[in-house]
Amino acid sequence: MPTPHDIWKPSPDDRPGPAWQHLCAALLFGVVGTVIGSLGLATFTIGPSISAFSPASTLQIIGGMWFGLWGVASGLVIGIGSDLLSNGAGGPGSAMAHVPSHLALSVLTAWVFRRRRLDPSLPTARERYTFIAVGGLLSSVLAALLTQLALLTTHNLTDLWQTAPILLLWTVSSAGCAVLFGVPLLTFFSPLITGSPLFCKSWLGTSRPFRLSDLSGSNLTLAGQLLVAIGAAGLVPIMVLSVTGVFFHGSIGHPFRTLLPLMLNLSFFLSLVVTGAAVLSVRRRVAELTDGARRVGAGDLAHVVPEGQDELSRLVQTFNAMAMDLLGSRARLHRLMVQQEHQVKELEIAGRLLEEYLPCPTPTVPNFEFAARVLLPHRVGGDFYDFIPLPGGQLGIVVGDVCGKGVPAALFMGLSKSLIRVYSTQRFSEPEPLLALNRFLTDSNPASMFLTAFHGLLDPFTRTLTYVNAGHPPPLLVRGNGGPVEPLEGTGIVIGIQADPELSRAVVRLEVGDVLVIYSDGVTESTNTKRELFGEQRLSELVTRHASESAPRLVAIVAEEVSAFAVGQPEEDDLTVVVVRCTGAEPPVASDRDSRLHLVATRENLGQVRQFVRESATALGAAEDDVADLVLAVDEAATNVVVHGYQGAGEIDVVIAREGDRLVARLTDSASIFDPTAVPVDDPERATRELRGGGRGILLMQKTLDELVHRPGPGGGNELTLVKRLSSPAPH
Amino acid sequence: MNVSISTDTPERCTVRVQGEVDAYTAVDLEKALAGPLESKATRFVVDLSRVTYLSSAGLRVLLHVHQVLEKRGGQARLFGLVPPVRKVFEMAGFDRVLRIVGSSEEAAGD
Repeated sequence: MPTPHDIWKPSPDDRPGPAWQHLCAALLFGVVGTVIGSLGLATFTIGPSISAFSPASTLQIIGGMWFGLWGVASGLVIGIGSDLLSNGAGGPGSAMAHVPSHLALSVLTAWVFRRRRLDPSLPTARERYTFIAVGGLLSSVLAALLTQLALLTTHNLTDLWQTAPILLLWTVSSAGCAVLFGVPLLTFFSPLITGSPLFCKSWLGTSRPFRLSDLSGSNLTLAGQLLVAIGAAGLVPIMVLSVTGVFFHGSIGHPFRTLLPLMLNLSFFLSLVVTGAAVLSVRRRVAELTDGARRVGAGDLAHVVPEGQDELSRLVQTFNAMAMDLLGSRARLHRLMVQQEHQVKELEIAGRLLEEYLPCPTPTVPNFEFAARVLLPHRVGGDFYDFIPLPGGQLGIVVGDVCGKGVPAALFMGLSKSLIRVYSTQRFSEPEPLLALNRFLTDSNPASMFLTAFHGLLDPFTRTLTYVNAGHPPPLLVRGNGGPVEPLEGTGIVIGIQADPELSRAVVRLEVGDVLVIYSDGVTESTNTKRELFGEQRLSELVTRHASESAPRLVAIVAEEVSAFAVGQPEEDDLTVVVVRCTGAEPPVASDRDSRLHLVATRENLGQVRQFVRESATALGAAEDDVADLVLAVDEAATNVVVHGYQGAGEIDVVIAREGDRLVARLTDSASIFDPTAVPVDDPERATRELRGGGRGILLMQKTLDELVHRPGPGGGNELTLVKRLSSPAPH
Repeated sequence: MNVSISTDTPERCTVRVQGEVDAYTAVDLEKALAGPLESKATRFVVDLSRVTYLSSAGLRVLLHVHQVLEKRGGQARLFGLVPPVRKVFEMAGFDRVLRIVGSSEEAAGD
C-alpha cells in the first residue's frame, strides 16, 4: 500500500506528459461536471442561486485534487458551463459572479492535500477527516460567502440577513454532497487515477507520457476499463437528457423538469458508487492474489489464497495448485540436494580417510634425511608420495601424480599408492612395483586413468638409489661437491596405458652432501602473472643455492618460492616436493674397504666368506655368539648361491654393516633368481630325516637371523639381506 | 678340515673330524666315510671335539651316516660337540635324531 508520500513523489520513470493529454482529461472531466451541474441548476431553483448544483461542486473539489491546475480549469468549466447551459438559472451575469467560489472549491482542498502530502484515496482517518473538514465544510463556507458577495453586487441583495438562510442552505448542500459523493468517489477511483499517467503530482502534472496503447485491453487495468465503460454508458443518456431538458425548458410541465433529471442525476452517482465498490472488490481480490504471488515467490509455498466463488476463483485455484506443486517439487529438490550434499561430504570424508589410511611418516634411515610436502588446493587431489620402509633397512621412495583432479583422481591415487606399497612389501612375480601396478592398471582400468611416477629404492648401506622413472618430471640430483645437477631422466612411459612397457631401472650412487629433489609438475608448471613457468632451471638453481640446508628447510624453501612466484595466480595444480639428503653424519658401515668382500663364488671360497664375516662382525662390536650366528647364516646363504645359483662361474659380493643394534649382511650375486625365503621349510622334521629334503640351510638361517630379505638385484641376480639383532650390543 | 678313521673292531670304527665342515669340506668328509660305511661296521664313534664349525652340509653327511647304519641295525654316536656346533644341531633339530653322548666311553659302549 503506497504511503501518502509515495503518491506525490515523482518516480524515476515519471516525465511531464504533453499538455494536450491533461487538457483532454480536464475537458472530459469538465464536460461531465457541466452536465451534472446544469441538470442540478435546471431542476432545483429554490431561489436566487439556490439550486441542486452541489453534486457538480463535489466534482470541482475532486478535479483540483486529481488533475492539478487542469482540474481547477475544468472546475471553472463546470461552473460557467452549467450556468450557461441551464440558461442562466441565477440570472444574467451570475455565471461570472460565481467564478471566485468555483475557484475556491477547486483550489483549496487540492492545495491542502498537496501541501500535506495526503493520499486522495483517503486510506486513513486523517485523510478522510481532512477532506470532510477542508473539502466539505471550509470550501463550502468559503464558496458560499464568495457567491453571496458576488450576488450582493449583481442581484441587489442589500440585506445580508435576508440571504443568511440561503447561505446556510448553500453550505449544507455543498458540504453534504462533498461528503456523500466525494468520499466514495475519492475512495474508489483515486487509486485508478493516481496509477494512471493523467494524475498530476505537481500542479501541472508529472507523469510518464500517455500512450494510445495504454487504452488497449491488456494495458488498461480492469478497473480502468470499467470506469471507461460506465463513464461512456452514463454520460450519453445524461447529455441527451440535459439537452432535452434545456430544450423543453419552459414548455414542459414541472414534474419532468424537476423530478426526472434529479432521479437520473442521483442514479448516475449511485451507479458510480456501486461500480466503484465492485471495482474495489476486484482490486482487493487482485491484491490478495498479488500478495500471494509475492509470498510464494519469497518461499512461503504453503500460503493459500482464499478461493471464493467469483470469476477470479479459477485463477486463484490454479495459483494455489501451482503453489502446492511448487511445494512438492521444492521438497523433492530439497531431498535431492540433501542427498547430493551427503554424497559430496561422503566423498570428502573418503578422501580424507584415504589420506589417514595411507600414512607415510618421515622415515629414519642412518646417513639420510628426508622431508616431503604435498599441497592440494582442492583438498583432494592426485599427487602423492610415500616412504616405504623395507626389510633389510632399504627404503622405497615414491612420488606420483595421477591424471585428472578431484575425487576421482584422489580415489585413483589411493588405489595406486596402496598397490605400490603392497607390491613393494609383498612378494609378486613382478618385482618392480611400478611394473606390477602397470600390469594391474592395464588389465583392469575402465576409466583409462594413468599416472606418472618415480620409484626409488634407497639402500643406505651401499648409498645407492635404484630407480624407475615412469614419465615423471626428472628428479634433480644436486651434488654436494658442486658438480652439475643431474636430472634422473625418465626410464619409461607413464603407468596405465601400455600393457608391457619398456621400463628399465637405473642406479645412481649418492655421496655425502648430495641432495635429491623429487617433485610433481605442479612445481615447475606454476605460472606467474606474466604467464612464465617456474620451470626446471629455476628449481635447479634454487636447490643448488640452498643445497646445504636441512631437508625440511629445503622443502619449505621450495614451497615458499613457488608460492611467491605464483602469487596472484589461482592455485590449480597439486604440488609435491620430496627431498632426500645424504648427510653421512653417522656412517653405519665400518668402512667400505673393510666391510666389502668381492670374490668368485666357489665352494672353496666359502671359508674366506666366513672369515670375512667373522672379522667384520667382531670389528663392528658383535658378541661371539652373534658373530657365530651371522657367520653360519652367511655361509648357508653363500652355499645356496654356489650350489643352486650359478650354473657356471660367478661372483659374489658381501657387505657387512652395523645399524644401531642390528648387524646387516648383504649378499649380491648375478646368478639366476633364487629366493631362499620362498623355499618352504614348514616341515623341519622332514628336513632332519630325509637326505634330499631341502631347507636345512634355510632353516638354520631363519633360526639364527632376525630378518631375511630377498630382492632381485638391480641388474638381475639376487640381493639377499641378512639382519642379526645384537643380543648385547657393545658400544660402537 | 681333516678326518681320520680308525677301525677299532670289525663292528666299530672311530671317526675324528677336525676343523670346519662346510659345503666345500663336507664333500671330502662324505668321500672319507664312503669306505667305512660300506664295511660291516654297525657302530660309528664320531669325535667332533675338534670341529670348530659345522654347517648344514655337515649335518647332511652325518644324517647320511645315521641312515645307512640304522638300516643295518647299527648306530652312530657323536660326542665332544663344542657349544656353537651343538647349537647348530639343536637349531636343525638333529639332536633329536642323531645320538649325541657326553664322552668317548659312552660313545663306544653298549
